[in-house]
Amino acid sequence: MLTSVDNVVIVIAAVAIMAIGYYFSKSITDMESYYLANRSLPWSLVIGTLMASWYGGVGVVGTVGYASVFGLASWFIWSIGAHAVRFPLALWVGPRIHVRSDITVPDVMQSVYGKASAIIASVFLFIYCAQVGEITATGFIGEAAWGANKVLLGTIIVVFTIALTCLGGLMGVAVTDMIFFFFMVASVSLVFPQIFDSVGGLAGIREATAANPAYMHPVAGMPISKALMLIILCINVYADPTFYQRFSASNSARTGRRAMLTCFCIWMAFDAVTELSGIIVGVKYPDLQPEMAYITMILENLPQGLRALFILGLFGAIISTLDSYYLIGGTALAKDIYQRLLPNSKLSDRQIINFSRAGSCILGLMGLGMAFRFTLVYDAIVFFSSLWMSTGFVAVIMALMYRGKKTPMAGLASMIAGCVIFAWFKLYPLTISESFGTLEPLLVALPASFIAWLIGNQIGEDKNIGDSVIRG
Amino acid sequence: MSNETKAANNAEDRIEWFGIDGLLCAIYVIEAFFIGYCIIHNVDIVVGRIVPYAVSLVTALVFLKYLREVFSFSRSKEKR
Repeated sequence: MLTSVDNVVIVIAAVAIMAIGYYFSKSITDMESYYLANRSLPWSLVIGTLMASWYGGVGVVGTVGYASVFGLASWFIWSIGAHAVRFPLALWVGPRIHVRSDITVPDVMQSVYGKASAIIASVFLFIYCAQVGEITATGFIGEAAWGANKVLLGTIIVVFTIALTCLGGLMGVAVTDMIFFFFMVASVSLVFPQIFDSVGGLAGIREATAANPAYMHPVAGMPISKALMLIILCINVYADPTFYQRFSASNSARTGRRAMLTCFCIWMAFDAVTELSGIIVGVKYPDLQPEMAYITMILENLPQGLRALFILGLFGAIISTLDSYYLIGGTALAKDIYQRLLPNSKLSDRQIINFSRAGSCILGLMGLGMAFRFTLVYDAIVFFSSLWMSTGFVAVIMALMYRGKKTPMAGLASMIAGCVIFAWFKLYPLTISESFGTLEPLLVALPASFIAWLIGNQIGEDKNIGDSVIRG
Repeated sequence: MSNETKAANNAEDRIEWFGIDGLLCAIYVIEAFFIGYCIIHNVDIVVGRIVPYAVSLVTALVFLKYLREVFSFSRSKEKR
């Protein structure tokens, strides 16, 4: 647990970082245009923003939890596979598809499939923006660091995040994100040699897990169904408009491509560190909840002060992820749901801002209501990502990539089929075999959604009025 | 779009398989094999030392470069 010295360090560092953020948010008022509109981000800044935004607190704590359960397979199958399936995104998709930064996913859906599909997509995107996994992680970290009540700490973090979302400046958040990220990666990596030695290295881990040889086998530890589902989940980023925003903020397509390829190399090595940390947690604390055991282990091995920065980095990463999604979700509620449902009621800018704030509060409450129902942090992420992917992925990808006829019925049919099949297999799990495991709902929902899209596309006429806008 | 702009965009789109793009792809593959080999064959010095320290070093370099870019942008704005 953290000592009073650690707590003082946390308060001082948090105030200092917030002051830095405040300075930048005031002194560089037009940084947002520098980031997005001017498309002038150099290679290092693209790497920085990609790294800080893609690796939240969940990226570390959740990965550790999964690795402690599935062993080495989590790195050999999941990490290598996850980054490998993203190579086409960096090499071909990102540079070629130009999505304007002011176009949201529901805008794309409306222009291709019509209003009904856009509203359904908005609702699911709104739910996805609750980022329940981040709040789940908050509870585990707080419990391990201070012995704090999970729900109370989650509530404090959510309230703080909503305040930041409503009051904070974009540039301030961008700079503080990077500082938090650096604290997190540096402390996780620098403490690793110590905990690695404490179990006797790889030989020690193998000896401790000799009773379960699959655990230290490169592929045998993870059921096929789970491995497939995790890799498929990684292609969700192909339908993530925030990725295209960041990509198009770089000063050239080439810069964006190279920054992303560089990130893959760094992430894979960082994954090796976090996942082996998870395996060590599995060896040292087999009976404890893995995410909490990991935080406890790190706090035991880092000196005072440094461990405070580690906790600060984790919380900072969680808050920065939450505030970005709350901002997107709040805007989705105001512009993509309310204004589409009631097109005649013109909202003023002030009303839109108030709706967005209300949306942030709803997301916070939703997140708190659901976060602590999941045993592992990644279970929460997997559930909500799978739900969004089952429902919206096929429709969004076909809208962006397929150049032929696209009818409103195609969008509706694919979303309804994907959602219904996902719900069915979630409620009534189907076990195939011991090695395959339980059939992951996403593995059925995704092809079903695609088949429904193909069938739906035979019904009705092409209303693809916004094609030129999307293709740029 | 002028022919010059089109040509510039095509040059941007072209992947340099024998340049930096190809090198970064190769690094990923080599890194995956190297770390994987070291994990399977219990090479502790690589897994327990080189990989975590390399991650820390690269992240620190990116972080410093990031801060330098942001500060230089801030200074140039103040001068104006």
